[in-house]
Amino acid sequence: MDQAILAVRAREELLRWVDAAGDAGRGFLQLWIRGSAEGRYELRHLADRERPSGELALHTDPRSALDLARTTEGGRHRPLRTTPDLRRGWVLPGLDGPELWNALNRFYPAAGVHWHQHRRGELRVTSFAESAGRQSGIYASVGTLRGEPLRAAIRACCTGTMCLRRPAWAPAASVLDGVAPSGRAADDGMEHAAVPCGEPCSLLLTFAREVIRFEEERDTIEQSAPSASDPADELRAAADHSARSGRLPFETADFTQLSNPRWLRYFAERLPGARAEREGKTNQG
Amino acid sequence: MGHGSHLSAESADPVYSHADRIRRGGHFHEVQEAFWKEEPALHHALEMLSSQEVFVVPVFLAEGYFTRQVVPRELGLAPPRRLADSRRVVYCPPVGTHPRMAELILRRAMATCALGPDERRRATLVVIGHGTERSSTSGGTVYSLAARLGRQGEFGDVRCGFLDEEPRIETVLESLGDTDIVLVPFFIAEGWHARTTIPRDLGLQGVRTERRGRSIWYTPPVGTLPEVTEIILALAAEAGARAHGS
Repeated sequence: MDQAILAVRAREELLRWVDAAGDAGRGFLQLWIRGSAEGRYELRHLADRERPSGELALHTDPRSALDLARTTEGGRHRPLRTTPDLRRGWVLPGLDGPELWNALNRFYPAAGVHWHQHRRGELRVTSFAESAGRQSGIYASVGTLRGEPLRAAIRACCTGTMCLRRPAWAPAASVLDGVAPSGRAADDGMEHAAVPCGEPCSLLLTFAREVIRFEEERDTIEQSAPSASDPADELRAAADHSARSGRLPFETADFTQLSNPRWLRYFAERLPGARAEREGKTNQG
Repeated sequence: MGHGSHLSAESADPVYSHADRIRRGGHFHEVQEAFWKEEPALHHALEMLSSQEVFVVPVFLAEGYFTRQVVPRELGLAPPRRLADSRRVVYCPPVGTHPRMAELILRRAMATCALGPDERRRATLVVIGHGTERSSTSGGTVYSLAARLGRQGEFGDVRCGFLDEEPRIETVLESLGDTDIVLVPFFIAEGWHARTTIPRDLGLQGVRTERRGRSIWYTPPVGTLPEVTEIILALAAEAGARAHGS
């Protein structure tokens, strides 16, 4: 479909979808969107849905969506907006349709378009091989990452506790099981937008480059994991906890830190026994 | 379109500021920022726009690796073209290539150094570029600006030095005699290089460093000047005029 028409259609469908929900509103990743009878919309953090508006910081300029989206509560940079660490405690009321759409694109760039494409089965999907294969410069090597290390890298970066989008491009063997997209109550009686990821992001490609370097020294994995005696599950739990906290002592994409949650998950995937454990589960299923 | 960063939120600030000024000025129906290293991602930038004609202005200072290879490829403009799209996308030259950039370098230098006209004519202005071994054209932008500034004669001498190609800025600094020096980082943002690596590698102590009887001034980067917004608009207007054949 023509791209220019696509953006307009996506916006119209999103507004209809929100309007149809009435007072219950809709969940859009970590946002709660509610429409009013007057054709106005309100945005706030999904976890602040039950809080009285008076307890939340009132933002009247739709452009403040950008400031809310760019850093975590701890003031850290959010290069990937779908990390599940959107700050809480604010409300953005009185938006008209175009303002809501613009605010949504500031919180989650292009996510509204991808939601629309996904609903129509028209999401453009670019595989890791294609995306990695077109890279150049310091990223030229990422296309060489294959097999278990690639699978572990995808599981480390694209699991629900690290990113709210589900990768539509991931090979079947890398399908991420057992981790629900984070930040959402199980039975809130509300429909949530499904926003898949159509193409590997810059963070994953950078992590992949670090993984290639790391795997060249494969023997050191057990020594490098902060606590090699921990079961893989404990490593994963530690990773997920710190990723959700929004209070990392370093930047989200600082892969020089071996306690980065993505590294912890990567180690968990690569520890001896983790693969056998996973294959065992698959066989039972 | 800017570089952006995985590690520093400040890196994208100038692009957001320039975009906001353009938005407030009501010059275009839509204004969208996009970055190489952070969201909004280059490869999703065009999807969000509903306009039938799009002007892409790279907020990069050099014509080189990023503006010729990375940005067009990630936007889907370079072959194989990835977008099924009937609209016109006009790809403009990067801001650093605009002739007015010389004026902005001079503005940074004059505002920071406390030198009178005669003292300036005995001093050296040094433009610091990023440079790269990956592109033979990247440094060219800086060389031509330095040549233009040299002809203007405000400073006795005008040189350039680079982070990632020869001549290295450290070498250039060492090679200068006992003149006062004004260093202007030809960078977009007050980011990793302008704020951290350059002052550290050159041993600078803030805006003014006294060393061996001479003063070395270090200015803020050129890209954060509000006039860069006007340059973005000028580049779009000039490319638009060319595209429409007028």
